[in-house]
Parts: sequence; C-alpha cells; structure tokens
Amino acid sequence: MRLLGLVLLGACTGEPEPEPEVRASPLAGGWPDELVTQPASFASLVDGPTRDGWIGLHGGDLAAATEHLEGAERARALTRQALFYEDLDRLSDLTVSRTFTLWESRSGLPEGSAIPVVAALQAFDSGDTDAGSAWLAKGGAYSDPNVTALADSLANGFGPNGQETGAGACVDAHLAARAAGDLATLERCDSTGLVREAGASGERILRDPLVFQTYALVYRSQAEEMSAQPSSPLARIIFSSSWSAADADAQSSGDPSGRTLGTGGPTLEALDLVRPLPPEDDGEVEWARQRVRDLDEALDNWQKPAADAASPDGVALLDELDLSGVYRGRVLVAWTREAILADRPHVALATAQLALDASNARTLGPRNTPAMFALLAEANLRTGRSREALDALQPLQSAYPLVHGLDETIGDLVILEGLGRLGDSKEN
Amino acid sequence: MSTRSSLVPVLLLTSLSASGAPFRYAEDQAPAIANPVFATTMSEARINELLFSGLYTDNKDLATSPLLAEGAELSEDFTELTVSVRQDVRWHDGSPFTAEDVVFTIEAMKDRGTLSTEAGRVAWIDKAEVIDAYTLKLTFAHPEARPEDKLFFKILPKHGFDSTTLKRSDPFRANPIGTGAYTLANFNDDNSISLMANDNYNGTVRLDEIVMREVSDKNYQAKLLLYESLEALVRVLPRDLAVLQNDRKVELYPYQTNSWWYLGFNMDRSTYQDPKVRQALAQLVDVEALLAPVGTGDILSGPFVKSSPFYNHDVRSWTHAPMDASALLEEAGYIQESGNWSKDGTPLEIKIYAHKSLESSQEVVINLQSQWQAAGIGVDVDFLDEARWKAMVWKDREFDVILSQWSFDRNEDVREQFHSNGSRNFTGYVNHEVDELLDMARTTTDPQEKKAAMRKIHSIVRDDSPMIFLWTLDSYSAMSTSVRNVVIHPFYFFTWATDWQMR
Repeated sequence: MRLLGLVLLGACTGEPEPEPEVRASPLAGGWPDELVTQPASFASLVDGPTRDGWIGLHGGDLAAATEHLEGAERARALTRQALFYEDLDRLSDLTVSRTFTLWESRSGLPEGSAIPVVAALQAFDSGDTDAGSAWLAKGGAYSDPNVTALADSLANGFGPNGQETGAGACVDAHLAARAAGDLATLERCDSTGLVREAGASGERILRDPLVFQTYALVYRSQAEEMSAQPSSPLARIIFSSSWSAADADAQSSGDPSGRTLGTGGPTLEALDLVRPLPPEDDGEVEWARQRVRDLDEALDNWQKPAADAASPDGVALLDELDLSGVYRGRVLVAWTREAILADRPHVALATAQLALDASNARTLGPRNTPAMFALLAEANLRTGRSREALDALQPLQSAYPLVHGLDETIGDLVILEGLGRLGDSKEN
Repeated sequence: MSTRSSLVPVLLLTSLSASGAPFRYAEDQAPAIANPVFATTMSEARINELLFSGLYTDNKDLATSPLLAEGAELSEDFTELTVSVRQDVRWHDGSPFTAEDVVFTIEAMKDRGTLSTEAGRVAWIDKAEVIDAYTLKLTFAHPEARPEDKLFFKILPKHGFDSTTLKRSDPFRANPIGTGAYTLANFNDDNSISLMANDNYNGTVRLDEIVMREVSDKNYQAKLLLYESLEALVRVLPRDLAVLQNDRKVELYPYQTNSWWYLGFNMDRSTYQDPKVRQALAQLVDVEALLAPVGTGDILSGPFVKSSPFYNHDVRSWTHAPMDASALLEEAGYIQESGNWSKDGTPLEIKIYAHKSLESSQEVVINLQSQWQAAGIGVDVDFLDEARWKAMVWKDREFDVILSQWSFDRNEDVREQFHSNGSRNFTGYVNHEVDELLDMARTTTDPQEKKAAMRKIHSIVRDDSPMIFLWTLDSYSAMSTSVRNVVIHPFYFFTWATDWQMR
C-alpha cells in the first residue's frame, strides 16, 4: 500500500504527458493501458475519500474496499466478496461431505455424535436434499437435545426451526441473515463451532457448514442494493479481469453473477485465449499451462511498448501497481474458477499454481487475492491434495478468521485419509 | 574427481550414449546410495522413484493405485492379503520380476541384520509367502482394513543379493537393479549421474535421459537454470523465487514437503540431559537473525509446519531472552565468570555439526556460533560430508548439537523422531507420555482425537526441547518451460515423470 501512495503522489505532479501512441494491439485501450497513458485520470479517480477503498480493491483487501468505496464501486467490491465466499462455500461443501463420508467408512461415526445432522445441514444448504435425508437417516439418539430438536426439524425440511439455543438457533440466525441481507444476526452463533460434544479424549467440535453461503448471499444482496451506475468508465473496470469496457459488457450480459467474468470478452477473443477446455487426459495440465504462457506473452508484448511510450508517472503506475500482473492474476482466478465449475480440477490446479505469486506466497496482495487462495485450496482438494489445500488456506487465516473452522475440518479429512498409512520422512 | 563419500566416485566412468536432449536436474547433494532400503535423504528418495517400483503407488489424484501389483484379495478377517503381481515386468537386467522378489524384499527389510531405518514399513507384516511365481500371500500381525495403502515400499531383486541381510556396502548400492522407468547408466566425472529410459519398462517413457547434477551452491543452481544448463531445480531458495518467477523460461511448482529445520541436542551427553540447559540454549538463539540470510519462512514452535493439522498454534516458540537463559543456566548449576559459562570448573563448550549439503547451513551455523559465543559459550563448528554425517549422527551419535532438516510426506508422522524406540530419534529423547500419545495417534480412528494427541506432543516437545525448532521455508521447484506435461508428486517428486517430455 505504501507504494501505491507514492505512485499516487507522483501521478499528481502534473507533468506533461506524451501523446498516447497508437498501437494496433488487442490490449490497446483497456484499463491498464489507460493508467499508463493517462496517469492523471487515475489520480483523479482515486484521490478523495474512497482512496483506501481503491487501495483495497487493488491489493485484494476486500473488506477495506467494501468499507471505503461507494455506489457501483462498492457493489464491485461486494460482488468480489460474494464470489470469494461462494468459492469457500463450495470448498466447505466438498470438505464436509468427504470428511464425514470417509469418517463413517473408515471407523463408523461416533455414537450419539451430531455428525449426521451437520452433514445433513450442509447437504440441504447446497440443495442436495436426497443426501441431506440420507444423512438424517443415519442419525440415532443424539447426545445433545438441541441437536435432536434440529434433526427433527430438518426431517420436515430445511427452514426456520424456532430454537432459542444451540445449533438450531444458529441455523435460524443464518436464515434470518440471508433474508435480511445483514450479517448481524450471526452474533447468535458460536463462531468457533456449531456443535461441541464429548469426544473420545476431549471435546469434539463440529464446524458451522452454513456460514460461507450466508456471507455470500448477504454480500450479493447488498451488492444488488447499490447503484448500478459507475462513477466513471474507468471506475467500472479498473483492477478487474475485464481489460476493457467491451469485455465487461460482453460478460455481464451473459452472466450477471460475475462467476465467469474474465473468461471471455473481445480482448481475450482477439488474443485467441477463449478456448474450449481440452479432453480430460494427461495433456490437460499442459494445455492449462500453455494458455497462461500465451497470456503472459501477450501481456509482455503490450507492456514493453506501453512503458516505452509512457510518461514517468505512467511508468511508475505500470511498475508499482503491477498492472500487468494484477490483470493476469484476475484472469487466472477466473480461469481457475471456470475450470472448477466445469469439474476440471487438474486444469484448475495448474492454472492456480501459476496465479500464485510465489515470492510472496504467505501474504495476501494484488496477485495473491483471497479468491486465488480459496480456489487453489479447492483445486488441491479436488485433485486429492487435501494436505496441500491446507497450505493454500493458511494465508487467509488472519484476515478471515472464519476460515479457521474450514481449515480444521480439512485437517480432519487429511488425518482420515492417512489412517492406516505409514508416513515417510527423510533428511533435507 | 571428488573424494567425497557419495556414489559418484565409487563407480567406474563410462561414456554417455544419450539419445535426445537430456532432462537435467540439480540436487544439493548426490544420492549416497541407490538402495531404497537405506535411503535417508530426499535426494535418495527422489532417485529411487525413477529406478524402483512398489506394489502400489499414488495416482495423480493421490489415490492408491497398483503398480507392480495386478490385483489383491483381502481375507474376510482382514488378516491376509493375497497379491497377484504383474507378469509382464522385467528387471533392468532383463530378469523377470516375480513374487519371489516381493517376499525377498519384505524378509530383507525385516531381517534384524539389515540395519535399515525403513524396517518399520514392513513391521506390520507377520509373514510373506510365495504361492506361485506371480502370487504371494501376506499375513498381518493385526487386522488391516486397507493394507494396499502400506505397500508402497520399493521392491528389490532377489537375484541382486546374496542373502536377506542387506548392507549399505553391498555392491548393489552403486549398481542398482530396479523395475522403474529408468536405469542407472553412468556416474560421470562431473559428479552427475545419468539415467536412461528402461528398455524393459512396460509403459511409455518420454524423457530418454535424465541427468542428476550435484550442485551444492544454490546460487549457482539458479544461474544454471536461467542459462538453460539445467531443466529443473528440485528446491529453490526463497530468496531466488522472485527472479525465477519473472523469467519466462522458467515455471515454479509448489513442492511443499512439510519440512522443518531444527537444532538437535544429543541427550546421551550429560550436559544436554538437563532440560534447563536445553531451554537456556534455545533462549540464546535469535531465530529471526538466523533465518534472515536464508530467506522468508515461518518460525516454528514445534515439529510441524504451520499449515499442518497437528500444529499447536497455542504454543509459542522460544524467544530470544538472554536474561532468562542466564537464570536457567544458573539453576542448572552453571556460573558465569569473565563472561564465560562453566560448571564444576568445566567450561560450557558445544560442537555444532551440520551437513555440508544443507542449503545455507554454513551461514546459519556461523551466525549461531557467534550468537552463543557472545553469550559466553564456547562453540566449535564442523560441516560433515555424507559419510561422516551417517557415521557420527545416524550410527554413533557422536555429536553435541546438529543442524538439520526433516521432510515429511502428507502424513507428517513424527513417531520415528520422537518415540523412544524411533529409528530416527538421534537426540535420544525419551518421554513416556509422548510415547503413549504417539502410540495412540497411530491406532485411533477418530481424527480429532489424533489431532489433539499430536498437538499435545507439540506442546510437550517444545517444553522438553530435545530440539530447538527453527523454521520452514517456502518450498518450490523450478522447471524450464522446455519440459512439458509436468506434474510433480508432493513428496517423491518423480512419481509421474514418465509423462514428462522435452519440447
């Protein structure tokens, strides 16, 4: 963020800007190009009370972006938050389902445990009522009466259950938050665990499987309440996966949710980077890597002449805001998400690994956005790399304490997968 | 030619006959032995992955998948597994692979005369019998629900040995015969090892030749990759990541081997039997200052990396607290005169050993030496080659303090390091509560119970301090973009190298 501040000061020096050079590249004219050729327009956009919001949007600090931006720009930040929590929710669904299924098959579920109810909640919340009912049918006598009451309520359908305490009260708090578009009611939930019960040697904690979906829905509803009119054309797309307004137009008309934003549009089409996923075989990883290499080549071809033609302020913006890297990062996140939604986890993993800024791998930042880490974790989990999913989630822990519960559940999955295996260790 | 004790000087040199461009990768240290029963280092584990096969292996989704096995049938009471092995597999020398080889390998690993730290891999097998040339039966000490998950160990050729009592010095160490996709072709006079695609391999191998180059200087490794004199670095120093990441001819691959650095005390020596002394020494280490020249990493308080489900985040690492350390040394009976610590007239003097090949270990040890010397402790340092390391640390335990690094697969099983019977417990650490927790962790099927046990172990060993836990580094491999179809195994690296190819 310090760098951004320096750049902003530099951008306001009022030095004369050279005439923008006309370049016949598909990448001429997008938001990175505008910042390089017209740094003053960037200064005028971000100079003011929303400055910290823009810094947040650039650096992947979505909470700051949400707090400090206004109108349509705030809606952009909220939508990115919603997408991030949707990513986490998908990861949570997969984790809960796999963990409890494996737990049951490896050792049988502990007697009296609320595990079937928590698994059912997750299934119902993800829309899989058959799985939810199947989990409920596995439950017997629960040791916690609150859990029994919740199970009875779920047997009649997933909805408000009217409980005042325990897991049922938390479920109702989620439903209320979703209806109101306000997270305040979640204060009624124990953020460290939905159910606490006696385990074999100490307390067993079952995490809340609804929380990410609630956050995603609330942020989406808040985004929809915001003004749809951006404060400027640049404000609409700056720091996004849409290189140009035409990209944003093309994508938003096809997918208002924003889930596929960054996977298509005229710019990527002109670069021949809108490609159908390849056959599912050993070549798919190479396909994914080659697509990223081709994007890198296109960005390199844009960046060098752009820097040569730019004013000192433009060059400063290009370098210090890592414009090329930020756009690249946003597109790679979009491609990763696209591959995951298409059930192509190896393509997703190869793409996400290249999205990661390894030189700052432990910190959130302009390239290492929260969504990038969430998607990297999911791609790892979907390719059997549960342990590596924990590596990917670690940088999120301090900024997003909710991730801790998910991390603990994936930890349970890692342990279950390792039961009966013999570990290996070597020096160096 | 070097006189180091590695495989390289042991063998006669012969000429290379490579076909196509070789895939060249760098190791800090060449494997000292090409026999998986005696593999102790990551470089040995990696080369074994190319030379040898197990009955089962990981597929690309890390699920257990048959390799030399063709099928298996588990008895109803889970105590016997009848395994049929593939009939189309040949050893590198052309001999047919049979069930005899599997049984021989198990018996050799179980043989008390085979001084291997890998014996635990077959301890759960009571008996191995040949049924016919391609069928064997395993009988277990206890019911095993998923025995295939434990049958990953590499199979050795019966005809390559005289008896089941294997020795590190067997000629096999330098003339390995496996069933893997590559054969060991040459030890070259530049300390490199050439592997050639196995003509008898029943599958597609796309890299004709793989060359392991020993390059102990990490800075030089990165340069060789950038100058296209290498195709891969298995582990990049954190400080080189930015440069390599920005080079379009190179791509980085996460290679998180759950590794951590530590200083280990020899608790057989009276000085280090007193926990106060170990804790004092821990508080005389400024770990951040030690880490700085190595690069970015997480400072740890126990024997797991921070992303591990077993890491106990409530446990704090020892802080640099010289005053507290002084108090502990005084409680342990030491006095400080003219700045130097002594007990009963004997000065507190420590000899630190580090392995020559451990990346940046020289900077770390010299820095540590100066920190402890400044606190009034006599410190001598020595950097050991592989042969001396094996002899003085693994075999004879002739050391005060060692600097080393452990790498773990995804199970992060520290039993061998901290159980009183552990085969890699070089510190001589004994804590019966830890033993019980480790035993329980191995048998429980409740993941949260296991997690709690391991976190408790973390807390105990931090306080007991048989080791000073230092840090884990960001771990990446770097690969030239001229190599395609690369997917690396999170631990063994080369498991799927048969799919790799040069552009």
